[in-house]
Amino acid sequence: MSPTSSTTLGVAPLGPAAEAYRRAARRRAWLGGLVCLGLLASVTADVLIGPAALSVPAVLAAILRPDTADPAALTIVWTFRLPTALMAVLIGSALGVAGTLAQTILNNPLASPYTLGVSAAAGFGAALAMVCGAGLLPFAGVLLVPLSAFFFATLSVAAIYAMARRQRGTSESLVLGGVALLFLFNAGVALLQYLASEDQLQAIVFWLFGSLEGATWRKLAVLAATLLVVLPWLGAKSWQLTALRLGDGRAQALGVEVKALRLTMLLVLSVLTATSVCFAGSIGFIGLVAPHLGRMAVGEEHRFLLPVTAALGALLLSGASVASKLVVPEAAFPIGIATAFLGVPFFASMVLARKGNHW
Amino acid sequence: MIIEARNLSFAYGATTVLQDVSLRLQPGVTAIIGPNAAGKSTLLKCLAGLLHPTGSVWFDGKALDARQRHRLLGFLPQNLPTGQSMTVFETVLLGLLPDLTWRVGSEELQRVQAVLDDTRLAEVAERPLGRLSGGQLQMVLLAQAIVKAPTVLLLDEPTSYLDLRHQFEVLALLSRLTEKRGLVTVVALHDLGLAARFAREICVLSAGRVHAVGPPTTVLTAAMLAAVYGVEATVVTGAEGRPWVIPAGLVPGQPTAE
Repeated sequence: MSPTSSTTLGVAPLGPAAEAYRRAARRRAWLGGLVCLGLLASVTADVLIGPAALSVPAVLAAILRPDTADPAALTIVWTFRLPTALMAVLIGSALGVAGTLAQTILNNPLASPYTLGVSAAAGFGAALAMVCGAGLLPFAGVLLVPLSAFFFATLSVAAIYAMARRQRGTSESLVLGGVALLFLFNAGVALLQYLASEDQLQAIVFWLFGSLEGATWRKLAVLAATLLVVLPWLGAKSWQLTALRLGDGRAQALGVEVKALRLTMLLVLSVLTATSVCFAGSIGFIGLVAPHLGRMAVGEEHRFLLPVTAALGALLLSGASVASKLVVPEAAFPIGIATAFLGVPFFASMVLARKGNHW
Repeated sequence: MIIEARNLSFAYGATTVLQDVSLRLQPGVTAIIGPNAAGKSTLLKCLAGLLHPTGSVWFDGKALDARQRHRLLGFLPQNLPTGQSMTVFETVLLGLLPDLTWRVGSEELQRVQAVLDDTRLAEVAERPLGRLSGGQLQMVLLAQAIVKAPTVLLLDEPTSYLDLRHQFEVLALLSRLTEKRGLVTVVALHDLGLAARFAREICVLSAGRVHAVGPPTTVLTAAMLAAVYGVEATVVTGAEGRPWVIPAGLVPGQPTAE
């Protein structure tokens, strides 16, 4: 240890620049905490509000004292409201993190999980299952649709991965490969819609809107397990991801194995996106906006940015779920539409209110 | 620390960029000069372990892999950073990779503060990179390369984009650091005057081969400038016995550099 780094009191005072950095880090941690508080409030509201007019005490009784609660309230709360509210949190987190990874590894502010065609591929897989599979298997809607969505999402990632490896794993090759697949799968979905019966067409369109209906504890367990594996691992890679924001050449000079990191992160973001899309359909926008709001709030350091975008993604989706219940109380309004309608004006106002460039 | 590069050759696909380059690098500033596409950047990347040439590089007699080399050396590539919103402090802090963990401790913060003080960047520590002048930006990148206290510094044209004063400041700082810490500093330069002023040794690369190596007075000659650059020049002896190059015109009958 250098002579300047210790004093008789044990620790030397930090210099002004280091102190300012430490203060900024504390501020970022507090902001993260604030977003989590907002999320908690939103999830609470999401559980308390719903088409069935349950009173607040009835909902609380169903959660806190399930043995003595009204059976109808119990079913509503434990089968519908809690899984849906928690699904919003997990899907929002997964999409927020996937969006941050997409923007970082592609070094592109327009990137989102959908840029790489993963969502379009999942949509195609779901539509294919709805058109071709419904007559073949009795459990088509329950299992075949998400499985097919996940399969095609994985297939699209494998294709992009193979293309990118041939092109030395540059961000340009990933974007080009992804956009090409996006168009291909969108054309595939259009073809299926053209071939579909009226009922199938309706099912496809509703699925493409994105919806949290159909949330179950089993789906939640899969999503939670995915996030529990991915998030701590991303935490360990957070400084390397931050270095990637300086560009490939500089990240390499800092000892980051850029190609390997980019391709690994491509797989991670695809797993997150595919898992989300196969359970909830295409919920756009969150993966684009949460990372930008996160960058505005806490800057580029991914040790703050990743958890904050996870919380922001969750807050956006949960908030949209609450808002859609307030606006259209009697119907299950597709959440994908609500997120865009509510989120775009909010996002635009945030961007316009800010003087500097956050990217 | 002594670095020995033995018979390095490297090709990008079918294009050979380095051919049988052997060099012995000792503590002090060594300038790598040569025309565009002579292989200067490629040589630095090969020394840094970012490219894998044929031949070998020895650090005090030891062959080190890229990870071991990274702990030992600071490399400043030519590319400018893309993340414009990152702050100066964060950018310099990244120079401590791969030793950064989730929690950034006081020791890391002190080290960044010390380097910011040395490079006179402390006042702009919270400023995003996008709002720095070219000179400040180059200084930040230099600070990033030296924050982990490397024993070898490899710098690829650290003075491009800078005006004369800033060029001088950057090289004077490098020179001071090199002397104070006994570093092996290898710097690719286009400016022959600065190379003559600051380098202990100059290595001239031409079409991927070493054309000449030695102290500035023996390397910077009219004959070398005509042969390597295709430029007629007068070389005079200036202050401290350092050579000064005064270009006169192109050597007649030679193809242009590119």
